[in-house]
Amino acid sequence: MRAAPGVTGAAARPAAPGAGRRTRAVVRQARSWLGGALGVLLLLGLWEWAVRALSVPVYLLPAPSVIWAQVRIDAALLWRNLQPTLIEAAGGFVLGNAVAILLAALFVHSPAVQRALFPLAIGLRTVPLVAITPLLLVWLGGGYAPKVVIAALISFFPTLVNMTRGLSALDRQALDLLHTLSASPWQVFWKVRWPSSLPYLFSALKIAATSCVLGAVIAEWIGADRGLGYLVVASTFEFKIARLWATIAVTSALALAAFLAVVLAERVFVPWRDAADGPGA
Amino acid sequence: MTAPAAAALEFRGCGYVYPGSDGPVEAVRAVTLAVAPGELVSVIGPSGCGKSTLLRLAADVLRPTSGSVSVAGTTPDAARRARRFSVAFQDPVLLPWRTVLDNVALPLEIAGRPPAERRAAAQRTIDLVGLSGFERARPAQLSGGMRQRAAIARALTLQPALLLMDEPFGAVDELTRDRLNGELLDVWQRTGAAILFVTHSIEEAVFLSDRVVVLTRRPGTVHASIEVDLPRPRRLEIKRTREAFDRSARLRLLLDEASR
Repeated sequence: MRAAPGVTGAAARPAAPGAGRRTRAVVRQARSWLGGALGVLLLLGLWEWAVRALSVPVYLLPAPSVIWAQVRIDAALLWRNLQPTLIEAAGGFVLGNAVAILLAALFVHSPAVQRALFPLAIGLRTVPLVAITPLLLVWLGGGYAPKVVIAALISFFPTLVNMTRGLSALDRQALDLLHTLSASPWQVFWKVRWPSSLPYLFSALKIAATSCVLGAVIAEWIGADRGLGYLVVASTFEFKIARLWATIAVTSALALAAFLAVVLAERVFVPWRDAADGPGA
Repeated sequence: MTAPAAAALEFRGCGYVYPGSDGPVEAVRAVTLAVAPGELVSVIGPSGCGKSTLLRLAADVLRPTSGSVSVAGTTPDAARRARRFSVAFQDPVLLPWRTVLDNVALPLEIAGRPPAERRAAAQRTIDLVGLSGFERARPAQLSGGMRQRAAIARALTLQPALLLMDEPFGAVDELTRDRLNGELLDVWQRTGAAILFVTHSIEEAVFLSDRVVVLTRRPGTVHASIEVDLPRPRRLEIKRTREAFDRSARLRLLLDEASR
């Protein structure tokens, strides 16, 4: 075994930088989150100070402390209206992304289908949601369905584009390798295309996580009798400005929570991304 | 050139024309060349001479536009389905989400072998290329040389009768390449597989090969086929001997002619 000493020599080297890189990555992550939290706190402090110093009336801009107090006063009301929005956003997220992923898989296997349907997908993207929402309310009634569809429409497109790219992001040599191994199209998809598209998918899901909340709120804003979007309209009509701001804060928190959930899921399902420099590396 | 009845690999008057975007490009022309079972043959030539095309024809990635190719007495297509040969590409092409063990076991997984057999066979070739202890590592945690070792281990898991290698050490540094060359010879001697080795390094070709085939520039044809009669087993020190130097010098001359 002439190779042995050289091999052990090589063995010690790459392992250490690997571990060091991971520690550095964690430190960098913690620092960036800490930085983000500090930035938000600073902004809130400045806001609080400015509103008090300039005696800005509540109807123009309430101070963060006032909004927080209102959130606690209206906790039951906000919670009641959060639930339908959450259901619509989650439903739209699942529906929009599922359709986008299936369509992307179809595109990758049939360029003809891609040529035929991609312009249609772009067309769908260009339709103004605010205009189409009343139509959907007429077609689908006043329940969850039209809101779910709007949330799905808004999360559909980024996922379709990213996923189509992700599923085709195989280099020539990888395809040649699979060919020489006599892999079936099914094996190529599940063993290579699907996992290698996951980093792309999660990039899209992060966009979809926040925009599906937005879609649900827009739909409610146009026609609903409950939900955070409805609460925005109702508070505005009743001129309850602090409640309006409390609703906005809760909506943002919901979108942020959805975003963080996707980030967490990415950690679990794409663990190799930490080690590599990005898709395909 | 004494090829027995069933050569591990044989090109007979083989040509390939690429359907290029600016009209067809003739990559190789009338190549006749055989690799005997267990023989290690290198192919060198000026860049763009169709070395890699030749390898891709043998691997059933391309089909010849004239002449024929046979692998172990059958067509490349049939040999591929029967899993008679493996390919090591220029890049290691490891799947970043898989551990070394799972990457090496990939060919067996695709062939539908049971998990226990896959693990045992992958472990055997991992030990063979000296990657023991790194079974659970991900490719991103490995050095370039180690990734290439993993790719070679993967190519060996199916115990192929023929190994097609397309400049597998082109991207690693000189010292690592020397070490990998030595290890490749060890592995080759233990497995008994025939190897077609594409390279642009004359020294590497001399050190490894039983025979070196020199291709002309495009369209690539066989310019010369030289036996390398250095004694085996060869150790790395042989690269610095007068004998090795003489053969390299002779090949350099032939390569020079072929490039004209």
